[in-house]
Amino acid sequence: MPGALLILATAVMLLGLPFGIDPLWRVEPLTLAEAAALRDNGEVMRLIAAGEDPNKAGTVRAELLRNDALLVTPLEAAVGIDRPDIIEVLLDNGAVLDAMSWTHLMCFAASIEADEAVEFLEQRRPADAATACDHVQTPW
Amino acid sequence: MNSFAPRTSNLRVLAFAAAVVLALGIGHDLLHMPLQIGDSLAPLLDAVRASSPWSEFNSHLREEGYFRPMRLATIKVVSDLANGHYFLAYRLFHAFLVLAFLVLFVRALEVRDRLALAVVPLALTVFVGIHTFLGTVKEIYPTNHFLQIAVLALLALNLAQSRGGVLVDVLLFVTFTVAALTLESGLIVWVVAVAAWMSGMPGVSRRSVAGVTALLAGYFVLRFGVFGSGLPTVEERSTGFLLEALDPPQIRERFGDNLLPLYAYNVASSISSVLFSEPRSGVWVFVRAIRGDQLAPRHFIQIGASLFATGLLLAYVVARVRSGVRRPATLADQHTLIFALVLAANAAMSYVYTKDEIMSTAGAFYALAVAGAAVYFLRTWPERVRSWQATALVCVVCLAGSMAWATRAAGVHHVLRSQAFVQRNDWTRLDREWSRDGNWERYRAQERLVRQLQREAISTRVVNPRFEPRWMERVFDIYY
Repeated sequence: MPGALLILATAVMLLGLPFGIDPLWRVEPLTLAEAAALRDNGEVMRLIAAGEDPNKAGTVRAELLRNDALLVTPLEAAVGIDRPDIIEVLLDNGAVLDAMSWTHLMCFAASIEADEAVEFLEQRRPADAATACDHVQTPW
Repeated sequence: MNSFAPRTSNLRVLAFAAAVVLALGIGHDLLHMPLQIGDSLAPLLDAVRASSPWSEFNSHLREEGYFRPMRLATIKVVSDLANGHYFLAYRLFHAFLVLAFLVLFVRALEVRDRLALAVVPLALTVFVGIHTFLGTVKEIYPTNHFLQIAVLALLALNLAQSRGGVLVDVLLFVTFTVAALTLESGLIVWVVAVAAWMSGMPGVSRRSVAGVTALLAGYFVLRFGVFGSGLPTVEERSTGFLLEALDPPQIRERFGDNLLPLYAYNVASSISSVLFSEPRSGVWVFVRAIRGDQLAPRHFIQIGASLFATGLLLAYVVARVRSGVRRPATLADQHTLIFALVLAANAAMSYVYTKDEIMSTAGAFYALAVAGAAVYFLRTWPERVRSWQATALVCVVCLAGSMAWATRAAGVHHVLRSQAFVQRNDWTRLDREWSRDGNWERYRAQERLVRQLQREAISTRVVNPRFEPRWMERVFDIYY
């Protein structure tokens, strides 16, 4: 009986496909910042290839990074989850890491103890970047 | 004849329809999965630049430790047929093999009455739900050779169940030859043919066995005598041992020059894996989960499902032996004997390293044997007078067992979605990893094609696991 139900459910699912109903592969639309926050490197690259600006702040819905929704850049989202691989993908695909943004991200990473992000950013430090965080406002 | 009794052909159509539905569901998943980089991109690029399938076949006859010339020739054939649409071509080829796999399985069940039809859903969920099946769908290389071998083994079984004749013999010889030249474990087709003959299947005669054995002898002469490809060694791959995966230096450190205990462990754990879902690729994940305080419902579902199906199979063997059966008398007896021999041979072939996917042929034959046992008990149920308490208990056990198998089968979609996410993300690291490994130097002339494949992979829409319900991760199987 359970096997028959599974076969029946699969048949119903297949019948829905021509009408665009695909419960097994229902893809949730993401902003670029959300994709970065969710370690979705592939979606980051796809969105950038589709014309999204990797330096533009976007909304990250509640419960993905913090309890509340946030407006952050993709790089901030990547630092927020302490994932250097996503920072690298963003930098490889057009995100800018100048002296000002470096200081901002470094202070943010240090404040949330994102150690791997700190280590990665250290290696990418622009020559003229400041290290003082006194007046830097972090996303959280 | 009872005019209300359904015709056998109608019952068969229903059984095949069930198989086709499940195959299309999995095929739908496959079409959503990006091509993978590891084990897949390099063979594809090699195939594209090769001059012909024959040149691919020829150039892979003398590989150290491996003998798989047909595998590379097949990759070349599909790449030629792709006409530039490689992603689609390899995925369609994969989906077609899955369809053939399920249809051949149902055909081997020989559904002739309602009771046999009633068992088909359970049989299909065991077939699709067993972890060895995952190995045939979760990766492409870019053609999944484990799936090809399992399909060819089932094709050989179907030929053995036919009426036989010269044409069947020829097809059997071709099936064995293609399997043996595709992958080392393709020799399992010889085991299927001999086991089918031993069990008295009508399609395999003494002549067929002599022919396929002559081809086996020819294989050994070619592989070891003419081309000297030898056998794989433990230095080539890591393997699971007890609670961890050992890489080659660790294997040498633990076993030194006496590798017999490791070989024995690999064979025994391969057998246990099919019968009890533990260990997985040599690693006792259930024990590891207990020690790491990470037990999840999936561990109980997998082991519980296997205990139910293997228990059914053992009960069947005991019942048949007790009733005086000494030689296979029914199709279920034949399937059980063939399964036992295929399991032993498949496990023996895993002696150097054990992987779930290597056992995928044994996993398919396991489902056949379990189905036969289930039909037997369903058929003999009225003869067994039992108390209502015993009847209720049997019903609860059967319901729980079939639910566990249906859950495992449903979990295939979850595993494939997770794989798709991982495989697409892998493409974002292509430049760094290929620069590090020196692959760009080797494939610089094909950079345009690599970029095309990367674009196709990245543009594939996949499901982010964050949006999957949390219970799925705990209930469904994961990629080991």
